[in-house]
Amino acid sequence: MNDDDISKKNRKLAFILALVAISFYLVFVLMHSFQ
Amino acid sequence: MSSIAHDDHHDHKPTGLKRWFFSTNHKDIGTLYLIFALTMFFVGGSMAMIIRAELFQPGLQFVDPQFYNSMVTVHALIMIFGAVMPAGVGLANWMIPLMIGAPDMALPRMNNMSFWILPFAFALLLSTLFMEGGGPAGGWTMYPPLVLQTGNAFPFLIFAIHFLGVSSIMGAINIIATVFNMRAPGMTLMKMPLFVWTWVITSFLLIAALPVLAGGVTMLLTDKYFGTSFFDAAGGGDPVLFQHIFWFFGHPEVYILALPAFGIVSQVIPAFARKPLFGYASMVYATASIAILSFFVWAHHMFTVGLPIKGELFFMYATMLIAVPTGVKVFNWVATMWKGAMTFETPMLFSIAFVILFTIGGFSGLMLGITPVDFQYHDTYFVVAHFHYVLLTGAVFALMSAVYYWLPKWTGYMYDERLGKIHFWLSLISSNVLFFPQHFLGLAGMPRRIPDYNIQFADFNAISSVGGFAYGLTQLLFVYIVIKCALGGKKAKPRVWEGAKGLEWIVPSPAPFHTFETPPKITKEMLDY
Repeated sequence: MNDDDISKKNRKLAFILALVAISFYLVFVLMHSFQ
Repeated sequence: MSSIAHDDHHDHKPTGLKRWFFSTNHKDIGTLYLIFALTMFFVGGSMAMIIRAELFQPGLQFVDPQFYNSMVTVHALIMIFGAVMPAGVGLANWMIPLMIGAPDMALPRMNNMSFWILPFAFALLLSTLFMEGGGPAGGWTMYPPLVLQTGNAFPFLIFAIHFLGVSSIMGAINIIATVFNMRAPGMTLMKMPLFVWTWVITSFLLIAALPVLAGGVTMLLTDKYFGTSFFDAAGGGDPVLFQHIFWFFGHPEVYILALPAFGIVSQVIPAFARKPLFGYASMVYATASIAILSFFVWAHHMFTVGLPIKGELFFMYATMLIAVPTGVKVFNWVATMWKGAMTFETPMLFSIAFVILFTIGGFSGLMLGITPVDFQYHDTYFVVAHFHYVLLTGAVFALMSAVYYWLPKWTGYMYDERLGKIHFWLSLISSNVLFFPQHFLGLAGMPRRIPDYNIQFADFNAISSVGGFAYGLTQLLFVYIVIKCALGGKKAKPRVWEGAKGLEWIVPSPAPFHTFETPPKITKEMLDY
């Protein structure tokens, strides 16, 4: 695997993890907003 | 070894301020984190000195109660988010790529941003101390409705916490991407050093727990400024909801501070016992178990708010359960030392002290986890004693151990062992003089977060304050030792400690600016930890 492939893989994983974190945040706020 | 020599040959590094502001090098960013953490340790420490000076005698001596409460609040926020967490991330930055044979962190530019958010976040937080109405004074737990009485400092507090969360989450993402994608060939997950394992697990905790805190404080902000009633009973909300949200973050946060400390001790003890770590796999599984369980125990911080009895029992038993994997870890550390050829250099002394004193903190935690007992101890100095044993003689002692263990690798020079031992013994004695009497104060009923107290608590408070001043002064010695070591001394070998195993010890000391640009060839002996 060359450096570009590894960078791509890193960015993909980072994007997924960031999405997880942002969804936790939104779910928490929205869940309590509609009670 | 040829790849290492190659790296050394091309050891170009940027110079001047640019090197630090625009750095994408994991070692430089690690250094920035560690220096920042040490600075914050002294800022938060000076607030602790104000607290202990005020409590030296009954009555109001030096500060007014509002300012005292600010000191208690900001001391906690600084020590947790500004000192212990950044120190752990600094060690992770410096050591994880070296330990897994990676050339750098997976996302170096994001790494730079993770760090440089911190000084601005703390500038926001500390600026509140100079505002009209003073800094936040409702405690680091920020319970409404009290915290909503904060003046102009309130939005600064909330935004500072958001920034700190963003910084930590980016750091956590970077660590996970580095460990999953950047390991050298042959470095399988179950061959990674325990320090790396504990940081991967901690990173998942950070990603799961910090958005919850961010959500909670956003709701506080909208309650105060945008007319919502999440936590306002008059508008149909519930102030206890905030406590649930806060502690759903807060308890995993305790392990975010403690797990990297476990990782450090799991590196140091085998090195100085000259034996592989006892029960490597069980250590990994115990760490993961602690992390998972930490999400199911949050309400043990709220036994006195009026939970249903079945809920209290559930959280009591779940809390007791955490003692099992923690017990596995303590057993394994002791079993690693058993019949080892031990020597007692400063890192080992701090690690052994960690095992004993963290266990004392763990036991007082078990006492607090028993529901009916907690009704007596809740919000007393017993709690203050408990979490300082876990965080100061626990996490901070482990961080000190790590600094002494890896300092020769960072600077290329050996630190002054005699001064290191003096630092250890003075820290050990003073921290126990500082915190052990607080158990008695709590058992006798002294509440936490008060600037004045009944005369019956005077003696133990005076002793505690003397210990506090001694501990604070002793840490100046630590700064002297680190600076002295950075400036020169006996040259350090690549393998600084004869019993130390792992990839970080095959690179020269100081570690070159670029390492493992070609992945190292991993042999079985290198990983026999």
